[in-house]
Amino acid sequence: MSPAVHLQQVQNIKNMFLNLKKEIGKVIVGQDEVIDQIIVAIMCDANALLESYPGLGKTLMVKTMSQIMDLKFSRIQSTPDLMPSDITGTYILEDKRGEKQFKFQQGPLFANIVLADEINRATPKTQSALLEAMQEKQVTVGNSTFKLDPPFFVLATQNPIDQEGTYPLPEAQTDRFLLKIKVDYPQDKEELEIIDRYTTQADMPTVKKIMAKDSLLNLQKYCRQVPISDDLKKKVVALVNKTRTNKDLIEYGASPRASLGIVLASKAHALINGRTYVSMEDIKKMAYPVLRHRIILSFKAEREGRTPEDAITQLLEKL
Amino acid sequence: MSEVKRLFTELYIEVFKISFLHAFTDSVIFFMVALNMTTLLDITFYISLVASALFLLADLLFRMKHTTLRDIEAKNPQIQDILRTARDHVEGTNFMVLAMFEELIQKMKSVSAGTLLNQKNLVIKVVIVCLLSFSVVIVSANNIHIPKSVFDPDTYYKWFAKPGGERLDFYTIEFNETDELLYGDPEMAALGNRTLELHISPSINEMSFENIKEPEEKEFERGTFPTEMAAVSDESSEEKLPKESKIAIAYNLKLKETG
Repeated sequence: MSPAVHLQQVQNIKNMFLNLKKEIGKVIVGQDEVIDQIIVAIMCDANALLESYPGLGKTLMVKTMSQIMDLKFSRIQSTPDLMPSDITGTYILEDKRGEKQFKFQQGPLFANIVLADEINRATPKTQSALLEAMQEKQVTVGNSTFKLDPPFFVLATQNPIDQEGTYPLPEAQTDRFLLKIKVDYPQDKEELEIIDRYTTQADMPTVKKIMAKDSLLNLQKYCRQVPISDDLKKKVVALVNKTRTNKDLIEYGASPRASLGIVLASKAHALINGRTYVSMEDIKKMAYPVLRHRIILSFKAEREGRTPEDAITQLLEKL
Repeated sequence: MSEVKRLFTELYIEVFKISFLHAFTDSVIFFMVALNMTTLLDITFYISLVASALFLLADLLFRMKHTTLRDIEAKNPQIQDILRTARDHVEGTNFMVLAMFEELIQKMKSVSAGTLLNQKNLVIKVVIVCLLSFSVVIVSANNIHIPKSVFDPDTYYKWFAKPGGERLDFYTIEFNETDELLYGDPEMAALGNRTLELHISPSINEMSFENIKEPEEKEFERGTFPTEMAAVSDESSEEKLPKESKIAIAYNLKLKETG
């Protein structure tokens, strides 16, 4: 029998991700599930929507990850007066050896990881410019189109409270985010560690680079190669179909993009955990972040105080 | 990947072996039960043999058809999902599929036929076979048969009939003439009410010559003969009568005319 060289490489990938999480753990305390889901989104070459209360370390988390993965990071703080050109870039008049000419000044979108903070505070026009970049992986300014360097990944955040003066993303726009990641408050033990770590040291902990950009692109390729059985694919389709037919629970169900998302995210989840195939556990784990922003609960379900997570749990139990 | 294809071939052979073993034990149980029945009914045992062979074939086909990779995975959680995934990508050649094949081959080393066998079930079947064999021996050795009267409906009629009641018979059913739809043609029903008196002469074969009684002596009663005798003959028989008979007839007719 031939030696298991491929399997050994998959084990190396698993170890690399373990080291990556260990490095992130030097800066971020806890939030293992959130970190896992962000890595899943990066592996899928997709975007994620982060929902959390302020002060939970989202920016620090994403910035740290970009450092570890050797990726260019930029941050956009969304405000109602933020213009599309502020994020895409604009032409500026440049004086070069006495000759005036227009030169394109790249905006913050020209990075590998873009953190769009409080995206719901930007105007729909700016949101559209950002979402176009997410979808097409390119930026159009005037008559020129600029390709964004791969990998390109947008992490948008929104605040579940203080909705006054915001422009909530419409369902069609939120559907473009592969995952909606919920960041919860840390547990007491974790919060004590955060206090200890950031009140005793003056300098931020330093992290080392674990992964090169090219490695990341290769991993994205491998991620799509992870095999999944036909039975599991059918189960995913059945699950998404249930979101459309269970009208007692869900008013509007998920689109086929959700089926794609669950399968792709499950593949990434399997690879990150060193498995060479997708299992039902991956699907169950990834169904929540993929579906929670793609379903709208019925009035009856909302009146009963149910959440999208409750609805997904109920559908998974019937699967 | 030829190794994975070979692995699946081996797996299907194992499934066949196990299915055959279960089907065989089932058919042995079936044969034993059938043998018990044929012995009790005193009919040829070839019926149970043929029926058991058919049962074996049907059971084997059923088991082969209903044993899926999912069942094998359920009995071996370490290969959960990977077996079906490998089957669906058996022709795959990319990096991850090859890695999965390597993982499957490693994991299959921990899978033995014993996990698929359901040993508890098999032990129960063997015990049942032993009990049935014992029962066959008892029945055969003691020449136990079910009496034919068991199959006679009259036997059961006696159990369920009311004391002093009459047996329900087709000829005693009274038909309501208005219920034509229910009972059919009333005339047909009326026919059924007629009492038939049948006098069946015993055939010579059924006669017993052993118990021949002496003829009883009867006193001859005088004066019981008819005073007048008359005979009417038809033409067809007349032709065959002898000449003396014709004269006698003519004489008697003449006497009748004269009074």
